[in-house]
Amino acid sequence: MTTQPEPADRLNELLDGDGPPVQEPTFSPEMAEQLFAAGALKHLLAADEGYLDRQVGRALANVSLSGQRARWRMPLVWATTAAAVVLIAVVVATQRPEDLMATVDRVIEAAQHRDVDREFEVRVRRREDSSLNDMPPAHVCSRGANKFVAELEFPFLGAISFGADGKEFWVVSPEPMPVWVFTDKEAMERFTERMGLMSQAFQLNNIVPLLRRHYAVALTKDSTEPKELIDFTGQRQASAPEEAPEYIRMVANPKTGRPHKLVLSWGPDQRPLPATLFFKLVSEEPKPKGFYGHRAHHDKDRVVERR
Amino acid sequence: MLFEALVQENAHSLAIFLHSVIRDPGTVDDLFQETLITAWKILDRFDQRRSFGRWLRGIARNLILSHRRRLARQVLVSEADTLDLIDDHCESVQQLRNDLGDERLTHLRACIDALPATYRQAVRLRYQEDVRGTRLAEMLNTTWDNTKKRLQRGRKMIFDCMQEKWAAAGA
Repeated sequence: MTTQPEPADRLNELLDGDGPPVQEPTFSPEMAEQLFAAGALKHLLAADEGYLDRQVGRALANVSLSGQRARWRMPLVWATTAAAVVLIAVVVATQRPEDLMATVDRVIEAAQHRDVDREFEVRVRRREDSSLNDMPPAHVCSRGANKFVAELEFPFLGAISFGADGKEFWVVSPEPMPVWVFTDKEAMERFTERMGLMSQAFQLNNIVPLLRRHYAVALTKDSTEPKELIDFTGQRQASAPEEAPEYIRMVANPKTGRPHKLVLSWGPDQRPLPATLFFKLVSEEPKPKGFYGHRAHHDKDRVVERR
Repeated sequence: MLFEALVQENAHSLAIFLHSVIRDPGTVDDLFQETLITAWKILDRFDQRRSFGRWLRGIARNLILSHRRRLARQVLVSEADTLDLIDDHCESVQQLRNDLGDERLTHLRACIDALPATYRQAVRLRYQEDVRGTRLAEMLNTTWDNTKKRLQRGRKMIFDCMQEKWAAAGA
């Protein structure tokens, strides 16, 4: 006489032998626990560390993303901090060496002025193209050291904006995606980096000292800018962080530190993208209250996911 | 770009779900690919009020059920309540809120390391070295029945350990 195996035995045969699948309704929480634990162990122990990344990469390569993925990523991020960063270069180049630090301090103060909203129009030129990228210009607004908003328009994805209001960091992307809000700077940086956006430059206080130590600044040769303005170029030194631009060029008012134009250029092998960004100051009109918070950039009924 | 970020965020929990339900790793890989491709194609149907991870695993589940005849013995379980509970456990893994999937797996590794030596050895031989049946029993110097019990208890200890971590994290 044959007997049906007990459920535990059947589960063991299923997981550790070649037992038949469980088709009939023999649900038990213990069975789900065992299956889950076995699945987690198989996932963790059976493959090398890079395995899942390869699987994800293969899947993403198979979907029709290549034509829809943004042509450019996040050098724009630098715009918010580069405005202040480059101000340092402006002042440094116009002064005798012994005046440089005093001038740099003045430029930093001007760039991080808490009561000034600066809006830049930003265009991108890819290195492999000789003409400007076809995308509409982006807009970057900054106020002080830790408030900014960047607004981008991608051909297929639509409008994406991201920013910080001094307390939170956020990303607003087209529906049906939620609005993502981060209280932790590094968390947002990792999240946006996975999206191809480099957000590390949002904090002016991190970038401004960088220019002092890691860029060699000099007057731009053969400048055609008005004489009352200063035209400087900072050349990246070996000690600069990986994501820092190869060079930064700025045209600004040497007395007030007010930036007029800005150029950030990354080398062919650099992250995040080999490209040159051209910034033009278009406005210093005050922004509405709450502009740097995410609520100013999406409808009230959008789902907000806090991380 | 955004789809990429969401996929990478939820890749581990999707893989664990598939490994929990499907016997053969090669079939898991195929279903993993098919799930992501299907998700991309129907992304406009994603309800942003839902968890993206649950939505992905729901797609995987539907693929498994729709291919059940072809997959046959590869499907370990197709009973709805069991699949629901496995999905809940995967969502708990996802809710261990770190931005790097491997940090979520750090908890799992810690639970494995915390096993008593005899159980840890059994688990590693079975799942890391893929040693099975009587060969596994020989290497553990015990009977096959004892080996099965050891694996079952080891899995139970790991699950209980993970549950403590979920509770501690509020997941």
